[in-house]
Amino acid sequence: MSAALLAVEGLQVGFDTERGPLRAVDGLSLQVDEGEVVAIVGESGSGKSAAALAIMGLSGREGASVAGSVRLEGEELIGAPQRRLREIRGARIAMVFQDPMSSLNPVRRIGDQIAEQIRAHERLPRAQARERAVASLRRAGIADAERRAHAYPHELSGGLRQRAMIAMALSCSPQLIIADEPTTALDVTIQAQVLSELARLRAEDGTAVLLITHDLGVVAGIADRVVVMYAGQAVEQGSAEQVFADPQHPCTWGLLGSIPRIESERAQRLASIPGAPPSPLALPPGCRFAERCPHAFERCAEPVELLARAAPDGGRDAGGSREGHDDLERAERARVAPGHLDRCVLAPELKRARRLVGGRIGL
Amino acid sequence: MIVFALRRIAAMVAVLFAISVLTFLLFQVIPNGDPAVRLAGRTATPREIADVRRQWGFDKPVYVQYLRTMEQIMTGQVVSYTQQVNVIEQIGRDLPATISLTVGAGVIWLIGGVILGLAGALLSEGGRLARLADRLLGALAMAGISTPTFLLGDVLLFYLGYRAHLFPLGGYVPLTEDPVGWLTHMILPWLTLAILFTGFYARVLRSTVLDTMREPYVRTARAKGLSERRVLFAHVLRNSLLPIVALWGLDLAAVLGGGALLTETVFNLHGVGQYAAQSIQSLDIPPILVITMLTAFLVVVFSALTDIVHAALDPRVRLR
Amino acid sequence: MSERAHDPSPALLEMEDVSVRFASARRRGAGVRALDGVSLTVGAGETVGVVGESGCGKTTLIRCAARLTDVDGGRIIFEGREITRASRRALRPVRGGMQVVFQDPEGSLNPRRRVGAILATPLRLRGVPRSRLGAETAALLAEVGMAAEHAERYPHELSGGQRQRVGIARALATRPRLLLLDEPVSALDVSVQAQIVNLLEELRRRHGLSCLFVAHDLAIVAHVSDRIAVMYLGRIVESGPAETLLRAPIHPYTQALIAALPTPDPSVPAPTAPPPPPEQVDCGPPAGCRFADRCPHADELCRTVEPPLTEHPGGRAAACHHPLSAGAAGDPGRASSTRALGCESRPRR
Repeated sequence: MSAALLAVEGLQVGFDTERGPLRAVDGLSLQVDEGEVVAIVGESGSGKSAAALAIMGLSGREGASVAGSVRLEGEELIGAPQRRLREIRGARIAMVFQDPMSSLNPVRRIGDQIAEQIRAHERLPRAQARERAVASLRRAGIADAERRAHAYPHELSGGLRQRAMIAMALSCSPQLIIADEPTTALDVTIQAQVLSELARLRAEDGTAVLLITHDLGVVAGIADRVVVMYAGQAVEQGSAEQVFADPQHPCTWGLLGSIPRIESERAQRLASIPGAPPSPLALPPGCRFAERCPHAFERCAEPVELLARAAPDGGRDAGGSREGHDDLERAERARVAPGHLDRCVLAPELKRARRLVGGRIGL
Repeated sequence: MIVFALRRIAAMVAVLFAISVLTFLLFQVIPNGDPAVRLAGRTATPREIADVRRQWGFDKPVYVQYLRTMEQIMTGQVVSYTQQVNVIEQIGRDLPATISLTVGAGVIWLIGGVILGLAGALLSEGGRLARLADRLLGALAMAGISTPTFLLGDVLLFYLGYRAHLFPLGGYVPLTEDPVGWLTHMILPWLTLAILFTGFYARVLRSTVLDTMREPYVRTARAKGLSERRVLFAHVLRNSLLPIVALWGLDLAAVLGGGALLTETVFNLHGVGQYAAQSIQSLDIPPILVITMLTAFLVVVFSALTDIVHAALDPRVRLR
Repeated sequence: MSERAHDPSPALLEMEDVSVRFASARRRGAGVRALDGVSLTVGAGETVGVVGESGCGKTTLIRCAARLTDVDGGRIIFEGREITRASRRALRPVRGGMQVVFQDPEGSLNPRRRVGAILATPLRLRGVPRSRLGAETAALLAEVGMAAEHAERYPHELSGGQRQRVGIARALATRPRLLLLDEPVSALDVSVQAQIVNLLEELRRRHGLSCLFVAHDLAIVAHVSDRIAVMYLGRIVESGPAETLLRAPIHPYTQALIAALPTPDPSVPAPTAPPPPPEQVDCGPPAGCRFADRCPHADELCRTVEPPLTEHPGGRAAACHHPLSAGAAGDPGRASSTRALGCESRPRR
């Protein structure tokens, strides 16, 4: 293992519900290196937020059982004593939540809430912690930080609240920030600000970011690597270039096709994913995406592993479409793009042809 | 702030007017409520009754009677029908006992309610045994809420006072005369009144604590690396107490205004509540009117105070 | 009526110089101008998109059109009938003709009523007899891509996308000519968002609906609209046919909104963020252009004189002293803030 900051292996997050046990996350593996931005993308219910909470060691509180391995610079976090996890939370891994309004305590001042986190990790007099809080508000791009520190959450606009959340995450200079849908509740213009703020922090401080979102469009400008999740599993992962230029899994195609673009033809349908995700209580044994996939065939009823299948050339020269998926699959396995994994057995050539809908990638 | 004060004063005037008119009218239409008959005595002749009626002004139109009574109340001249003592002075004599009862019991039930409510909420999140304990607490709270005050008071008096001689058998001793006597006389009434409210407060707090624990900002607090104790007190409990504070202010006002008439009567405290109970028995309008208005006055004042405290604790609340 | 019959593009909804003030919570006298002289026309079969950041007044616009908010000035005309100050009773026949779909499907559906009951109310208003309710409900649900069984469910048993489908079905129940859509997809995942956008497009074509579509996301507005109006702090700052407005924005704010859109392509640089919006000021916007303090091109003129909404060639209009694009090259016409989004630009179909 090289300089893996965070290494997640075979992460399982399960819940006992009234209608039986379910697996919100089913064997997720990913790695975040120092100063890297990794995005987890998926529809709601795909398990991406459950994975984030499990990495923070917070899902036990919410009634989940967690298995697998989460290592921070080699130190195993799953099963670590709460005391140790508390030292890590906020100080080395910090979290930014989706809705800054409900994620900040409404009756306490912004500055106090940040100072509280600083004092939980460092022995500092109150006044000094407050100064640090103001400094980190400033660092998160808040003009007039002094005055904002005195404000209550409801006195700030949505964008400022999210910046305050980011300031809080920054306050102890963490190595990793987990941002769970940090821009979903925000206007597009504010979203752009928050994203450029995250990018700037990564550039200036080398803070790694695990960005969790349902919107692949948000990810392109900022992520180094992308993990696409569906029904608790990673269905595709690779570098941002690989995933956007040569997406292998139909779920990724659908997520890309869902994004409306201003240059697209007005009357054109969005090449989105039809239907709804399967119930996590009754998952099919084969490909979990098959029932929503227009390209599914017999082989999709069998379990599919996450493997490197994509061609190394990034799919730029689309070859002739030959039939006989399994032969091709075997042949392709010899020369595949490193680090570009997916869970679809369709032959790469076929994928290249089928993912184009009206000249763009879609489902 | 000025707008707030003016609004509340206007509200108070309106409430006092409405409540006094209603009370007055209520006793006008009650059968057997003719005060002249009772004032004149059992053996009075119709002529004597007529004299009393003229003398006390009961022959005048209702609104004249109302205005006259209100004038007497405002100038402190109002006299009760049955014993013909000055009502305001009587209430002044009764107030110390009521205040002693209210403040002591109020503190006990607030603290008790918060402790039991918090314990219940924490236990309900725990293992099987803890959840059982929470159920038990819940059942106790229900028992506390539903036990009639007169029964509970009498039982306590009988066993702890009469049988065990631990406490005196009722009555009130002023704090200024004999602090120890005051305390021993007040403990049983405090407990009796507080048990009722403690159960209620515990249930309210338990459910607000459970709701608050599910708030995203509590998750944020954990994600910050705070200790469980800090999460519980600085975030969960602090925010859960807001509705309790509002409730407490209003309950205190009601009890101060004679709302604890059963407790006061059982323990013979000679408080405002007991006075109200006696006056109702004898259909004595002036004290009833004054006490009702006192209660309304206190409720309005205390709710204004609670709003001020609430606004100080919760920046989202604006005084208006 | 006869006059309207000759109109080449009969306007379904006309809003002329509409203003709404909200009383200020903090200061007396000073009111927030939620809408300040907004004029907008929705032609038959046309979709007009309104885009802007939160607080720009776009939701108030929808509420005015639906007469859910009272108007302080201007006129609202629906199907040739002035409804600006129409009473509840007078509105009743109009209501069926236009329906609102709200942003938050969870908040706008009664949680204690089953989907069937939620749909039955508007169906009954349309005069559907009780005996046909079941069939009509099933037909409505099928129309929005749901199964008849869903009529038995409560809103909380549905997913966000399904709830929004129910919201649309409820709006369709009265057979409206005009749909007023207030951020109908912004609470949803992109994939579900796309499904709902596709569904709306399908329904619009099938029933020849007109739409007023309001959202903060220019990409979605662009996808569904024939014409677009860009709103900023209670005013329309630019309007025009969708393609030209997006290709060559005239107003710097429109350009900023376009620049803020993320592109699903790592080779394209990350979206640029416009400077943060100013704080809400109770006493209303300052003199001069409202966008001046965020605008890279602002000069002294912009800070002192408010630019009027001026007509530009190609059915466009913008309120800017320093218009950006080639589309503005022609002689800017005379100020005519009341007929800005007139019937000049025709629906494409």
